[in-house]
Amino acid sequence: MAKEMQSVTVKVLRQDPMVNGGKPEYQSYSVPLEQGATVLSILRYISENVDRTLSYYRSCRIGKCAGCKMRVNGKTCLACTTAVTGDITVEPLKGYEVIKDLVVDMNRRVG
Amino acid sequence: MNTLERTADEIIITDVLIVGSEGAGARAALEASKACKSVVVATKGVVGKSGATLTADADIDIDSRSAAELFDLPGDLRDSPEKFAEDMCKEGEYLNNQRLVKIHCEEAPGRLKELVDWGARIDKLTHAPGHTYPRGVWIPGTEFARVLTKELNKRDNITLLEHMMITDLLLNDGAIAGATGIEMTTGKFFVIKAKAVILCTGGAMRIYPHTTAPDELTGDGLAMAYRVGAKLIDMEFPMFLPYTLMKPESLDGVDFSYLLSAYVETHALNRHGERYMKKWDPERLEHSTRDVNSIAAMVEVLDGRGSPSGGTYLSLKHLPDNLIDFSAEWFPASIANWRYGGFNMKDYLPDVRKDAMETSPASHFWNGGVKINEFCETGILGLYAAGEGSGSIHGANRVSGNALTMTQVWGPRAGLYASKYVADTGNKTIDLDQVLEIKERLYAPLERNKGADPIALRKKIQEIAWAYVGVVREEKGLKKGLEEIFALRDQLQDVYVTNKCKRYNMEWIEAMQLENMLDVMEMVARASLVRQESRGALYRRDFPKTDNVNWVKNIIVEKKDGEISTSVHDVELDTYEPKKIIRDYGCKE
Repeated sequence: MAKEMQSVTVKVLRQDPMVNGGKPEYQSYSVPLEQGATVLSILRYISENVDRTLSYYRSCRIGKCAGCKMRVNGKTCLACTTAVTGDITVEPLKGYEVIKDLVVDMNRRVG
Repeated sequence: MNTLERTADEIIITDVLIVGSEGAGARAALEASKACKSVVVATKGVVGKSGATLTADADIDIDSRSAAELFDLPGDLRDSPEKFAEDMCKEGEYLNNQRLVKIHCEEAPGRLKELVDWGARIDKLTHAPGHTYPRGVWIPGTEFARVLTKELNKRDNITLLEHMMITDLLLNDGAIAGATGIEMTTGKFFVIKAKAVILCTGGAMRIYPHTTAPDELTGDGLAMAYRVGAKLIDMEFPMFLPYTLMKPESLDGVDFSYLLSAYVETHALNRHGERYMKKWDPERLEHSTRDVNSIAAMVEVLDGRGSPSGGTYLSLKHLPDNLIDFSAEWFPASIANWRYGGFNMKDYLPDVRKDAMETSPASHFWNGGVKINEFCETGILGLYAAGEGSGSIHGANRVSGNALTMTQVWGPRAGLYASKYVADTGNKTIDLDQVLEIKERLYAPLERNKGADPIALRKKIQEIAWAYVGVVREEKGLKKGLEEIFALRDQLQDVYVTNKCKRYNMEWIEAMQLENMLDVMEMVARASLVRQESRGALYRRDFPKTDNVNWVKNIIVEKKDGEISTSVHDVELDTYEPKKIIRDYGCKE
């Protein structure tokens, strides 16, 4: 018997510095919660299946490059190694200039 | 009227352009910066936060005697660069270029010394299979990234271009004139006028759905070099690592389970619960070579004895619970206490006392690549290659720990010889027609409003690569694969993206990578079809013997009349030679 897939709400703080005066806004997505989901696997799911305009940076997927550092539920973490079990709010890494959505310029600190 | 200034959003002029910023690329840049006025390093990702180098887990090979003499490690004084070279040729099944192998082994200790002088912290010496003596000096990949990024930032004449996808090489009268690129953060079209270009883009592990490599390893350098007429060698030998995780999907390709299999007795099982390695290597079983373990697993899957996800099972259930619990305490630091990378593996694995893990071979390394000589020249004037994307060093297989050595020896060599070349040459005129054609091709997916979906195409490419050009190959499948590639090339003509924003458009980046992935897959398929035997990292199910009578040869692929053509060449066996026999695959003598 197939189990009904649980869904989670993923709130992403989105921003395009060239649009709308660069005003950040939250956007919510409802995403099926796969067993063993991580913040990165959820972002990948959204950008491939729900909203192709979402941007984030990742490379190694195994917690080594630290390129996917961002804030999840207010805490700084790596998207690839952070397990997801319920609703989450995802925001770009604090203190760096936002390039787009969750992609920040790691060479440019602000604030 | 069209001019270069109007066509390009930005034009950069430099002596040397290096594509790729990590192990090989950073070293090439540091070396080139000594003699060149200007060096530009372009990377698709972020410097020190991308590429395969930092994922290395990781030892760098040097001969054991130098390990003792230069670094005070417990090396074996009986070893020598010559002995190391002999092991490389043996493991490479004698397809290596022996002149290059000797340089590799002689220069490795000095290059590691430079890295240590820059502040790299080294640790123990390990003895991996394939090496007669312990040669693996321990440095995590992240330590390479830290030290090399620091050094790159110290050099005033090195400019780093991050989030820059170099898309094509520009030629003038057969010589390098520069390259084009898309700055992913802005969507701007760049023309980089360079007297020399060094490709340090790594392998193309991402053509496969299961890989240990980062997402960006799509073979861009291999495909760019091919498209301007460079020769590529040993392309039939992508290497696979066995027993990587398939579940959960978020951890696909993670090699934690492979590492486990090295330290405790694991059982690899098919769906009938059989330990299928008994058929392949009854003595060593799961401790057999990486290739044999990978091939054995894939044969089970192909013959309908795999797990639900298309892998096999790796089980610890035969071990007592308290033994399993204790193992976590004495495991090496990289996997101790069920932690790996940044993962707490207990969050992701089944209860291994009870259930098996579903595992699969994963694409791990690229043995072949752009054919280079001892000066890292490619045959195209001004085009150099180094690191994983270059071929001729490893032959049919690589020994453990030698990927990092390759970056540290050949990166600097490429930087050195490219800077000698640019000293006597000027910046060449850019062919505007070539630039216009490239620009149109790159931006076309943004202009189209219907057509093929790049994400679906990428998944299809990976599916075909796995099914027909994967761990186990045979004529029928390879021919089917080539038909599929042919059909995909048609679809590539009208690929379109739904996201029309040019700033950090991940859908568009995927679209731009597709042609590179297809070119590389076709090169692997064509070279594999020519080689009618099994050797090193290539297993041809229809030709399962290793044939040293007829096949101690390199296959070269290059572009001729717009198509991928192959040719077969004798290997110069100037020092080390195999026994001229035909033997079973996987059995060395």
